Amino acid sequence: MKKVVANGQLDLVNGGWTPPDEALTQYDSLLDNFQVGQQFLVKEFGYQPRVSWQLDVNGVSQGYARLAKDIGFDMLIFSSASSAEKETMRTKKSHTQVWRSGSRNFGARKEVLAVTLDQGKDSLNSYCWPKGFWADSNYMIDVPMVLNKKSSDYKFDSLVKSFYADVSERFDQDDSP
Amino acid sequence: MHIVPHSHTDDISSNQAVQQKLSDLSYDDLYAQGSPVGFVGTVSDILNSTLAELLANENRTFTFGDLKYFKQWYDELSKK
Repeated sequence: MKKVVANGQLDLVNGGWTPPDEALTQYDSLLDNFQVGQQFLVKEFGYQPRVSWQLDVNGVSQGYARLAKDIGFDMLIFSSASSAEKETMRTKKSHTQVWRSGSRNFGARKEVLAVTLDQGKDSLNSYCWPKGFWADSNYMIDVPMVLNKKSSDYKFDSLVKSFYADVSERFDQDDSP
Repeated sequence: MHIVPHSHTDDISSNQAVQQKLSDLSYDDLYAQGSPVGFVGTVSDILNSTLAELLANENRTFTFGDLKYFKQWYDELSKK
């Protein structure tokens, strides 16, 4: 276990006890959340995450962005943004931005790299599985991925095609004005 | 293009009890017990299968987000 963490195969990002809500949570609760989780990581694995990973959290906030830098994050990855903002990001290709939270007071000192995940046509569904890879709820249909060509359940070739089509569709969305 | 295999185990206040999320029961056992279709997988399944696959090939990577479930699983692993 420690080997796959040390060589970077298992990337334990964020390191909170839970992914916290950003908009309504008080500063001290946010700090407690990361302190409990990250102290465990430092003790067991000797490292602290540099990436905030907030896939399904609503209400991405400026206050959190500022605090994140102080906690030790260089990069924020999240998917919540209004449809209008995501439209703009698609037009300007600006899903990745440098976020200078509180810049009037702090200048560039609190800047982090902010990445908004955006699946394309459905702005609420931003970090999810490509079609055919829904291994959780749709598991009876989408898994197992049978690699034996002689099996009647073999579907690797069609999955590769489907995966390519899905990824292409997302790129097309990102390019459209 | 970056493809990032990652977990989405949801926050602790999710409508499924923590212990159930860490259950050692298989998909089919949980399904047979009438678990909602959306929650048949458990965090133990994800972590057990992920660890085995990572150890089998060091070119494989996985990104895991949050630690409540992870630590419970890790503590059990340490006891074995």
